[in-house]
Amino acid sequence: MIEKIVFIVYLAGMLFIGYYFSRRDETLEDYLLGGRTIGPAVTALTMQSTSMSGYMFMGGPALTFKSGWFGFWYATGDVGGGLVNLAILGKRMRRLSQILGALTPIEYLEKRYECKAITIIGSLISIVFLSCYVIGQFIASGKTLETLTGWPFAVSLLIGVGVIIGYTVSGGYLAVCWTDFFQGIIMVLGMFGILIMGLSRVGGLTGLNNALGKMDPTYLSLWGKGLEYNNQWGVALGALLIYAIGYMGLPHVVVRHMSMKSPKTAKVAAVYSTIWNILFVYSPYVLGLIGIALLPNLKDPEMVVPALAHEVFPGIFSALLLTAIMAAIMSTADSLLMQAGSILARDVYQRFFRPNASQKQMVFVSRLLVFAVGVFGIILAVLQPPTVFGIVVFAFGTLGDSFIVPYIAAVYYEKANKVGALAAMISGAITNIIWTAGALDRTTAIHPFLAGLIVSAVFFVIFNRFGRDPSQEIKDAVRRAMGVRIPKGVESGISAMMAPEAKAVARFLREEGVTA
Amino acid sequence: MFGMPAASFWWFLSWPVIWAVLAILVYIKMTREERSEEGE
Amino acid sequence: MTPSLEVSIPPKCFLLKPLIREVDATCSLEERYPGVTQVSARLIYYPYFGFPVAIGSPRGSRPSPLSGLFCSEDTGVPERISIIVDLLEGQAAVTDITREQLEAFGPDPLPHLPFALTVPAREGFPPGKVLDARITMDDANKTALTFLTFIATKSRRLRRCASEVTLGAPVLILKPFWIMEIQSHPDNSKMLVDAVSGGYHPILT
Repeated sequence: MIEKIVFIVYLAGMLFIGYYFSRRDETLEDYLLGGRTIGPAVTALTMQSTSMSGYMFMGGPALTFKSGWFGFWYATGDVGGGLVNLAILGKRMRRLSQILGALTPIEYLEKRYECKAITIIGSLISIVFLSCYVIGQFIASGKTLETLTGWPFAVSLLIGVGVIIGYTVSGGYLAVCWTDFFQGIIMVLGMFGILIMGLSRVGGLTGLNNALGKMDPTYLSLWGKGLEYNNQWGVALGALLIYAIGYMGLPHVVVRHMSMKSPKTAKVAAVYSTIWNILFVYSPYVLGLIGIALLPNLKDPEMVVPALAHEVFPGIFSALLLTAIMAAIMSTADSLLMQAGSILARDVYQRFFRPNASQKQMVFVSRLLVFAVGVFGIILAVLQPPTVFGIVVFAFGTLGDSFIVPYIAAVYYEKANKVGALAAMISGAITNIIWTAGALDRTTAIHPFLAGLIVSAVFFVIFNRFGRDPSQEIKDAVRRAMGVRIPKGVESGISAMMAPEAKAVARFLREEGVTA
Repeated sequence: MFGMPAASFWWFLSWPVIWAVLAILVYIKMTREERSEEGE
Repeated sequence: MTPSLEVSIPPKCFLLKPLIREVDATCSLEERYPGVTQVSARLIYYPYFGFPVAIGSPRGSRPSPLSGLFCSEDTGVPERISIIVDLLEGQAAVTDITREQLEAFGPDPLPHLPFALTVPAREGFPPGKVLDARITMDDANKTALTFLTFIATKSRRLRRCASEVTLGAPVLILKPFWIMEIQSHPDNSKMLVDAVSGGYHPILT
């Protein structure tokens, strides 16, 4: 009972945020990017809670439940994911997206690489795989609610997803960010609380390890139960890298760079997101280990966290955990929904059908399309619930492999051109799809994600030679986004005392340029 | 250490410290860049 | 924003004599920048207020000889250090400019600020526009006082005679800078070069 009350209060809170922000969306930039006003704390938490989906409560714990500490190879990379993303892309992507006037991550690529085909292919890849990803989240929310409340799957799905769609459609990007912010807090508090409860049950980390060691000492090893991956450093490196760099290719995550208040937001957000990750990311994995000790007979490893909540923890903690899981799912699903809708509205509808649409019309169309993607997702999720995390990992990998190279090259290599970017996008996506479909990771011991990334990077380097250099305008824009680089020999001699004068002279020259 | 082999301990549990240090370094580096870019 | 620097009694004005010539500044940058194709330079003058600071000698010690920008003859203050306040950004600093580097300049008394003033060409140097001040004389005075209080608490020598530290009336100082435009590969950039000391800093427009 208490679970339902806590949960209903939580859902009502999220809807209220949506309603609150629905009145502030006047221009398309407001609706799609929150008017680029998001500060460091919200940027950090929305980015991390979006990155961490329902997978964290199901796939992650399942991994440690099955393999022991080996699963932490994934967790360790994941902890640094936000930092890597913000440090590498943050400031530059924020600057360049504003210089180019891009409102979606796909429009950004089109304008940077001056190529219409990028919009077509990029929209196609992102809409298909964001939708797959969103369906995975919808199913996860239905399943979680079903497990913990006993409501039928379809009802659970409609309730959970209805709320997500409600606040996303009405409040737009700002509502998504702010709900994510609160969901991020709920996630970390819930998870950390449960972790402490769980650890106290098993006698702390030492007690847990002793118990695991007695059951099977290889649980404690670097290489998994029964030393399944003994000394496979390639696998370990792949696991470490995937979540450390993978998020840089996800459109619904990198859009967070574009919406930051200023380029300076990135550095503070990087610190916040690292703190949040350190507190959050390890916890579900440790809960998986606790599951080995407390629930040795569990049948479905993906349900280890909900099962722990249900069977081991008293009512209020169980409610807290349920809410934290739903927060993780919803904070990811809303961003996916928002991005799929944004890309459809801005990069497909406005770009190809109604270039002259007014701001008001576009906000309306964006709302309609976000709603449409949501309804479409519900129908598919009800009709055919496939294995949740198969879909999610596949969609994650394909999106990452398509976009990581173009996004990084866009702001680090001014000569990156459309031929290189297109080659990287297409080859990355295809490699991941083939690798996954053909289960090539078993024969090659290379993870599909890593394979796609390598192929994408190689194709970029090769094909970029065949394209023409970007226009001078784009090169200048990229250089401005990079910040002015000063040769090493000059940099060391800069007289810091002259900084105020240099700033004043810069303003003088700008003003002179305006009046001239 | 915490009842686990030393290798596992160092490979898995030292990462939060490593990332935290990196975050601080990134913060310092970006602050410096800002100063040189804006002349503050 | 229109800067208004109402100077009730126009201060004396001094020019800091430029020493670094265009060719020197250009050559030194060309040496450091790889792939530089062209450098162009333009002279400007940057306005500051210079404040003499008088400090009593610590009890029992022999008074040290007067030093600093103005010495007592100009300001009537037994000056030992001087503070300058930048009239565009409002930053204060202790300066090591000496009297020998200055020469009296301009119509005396000076027209009210902002100046809309150009320093005429002189031997080896082109004429240079004086940047318009953006802060008021009051603000400059306050800044100098705050700064003086700040350094007085930092320095043990100053702290010992804090009660005897006084700020004299300001003089206007115009300092020459080169704005260098560097066309190079891959970046075009601008650099501000101090035409007295040769120090430099990038300009980010």
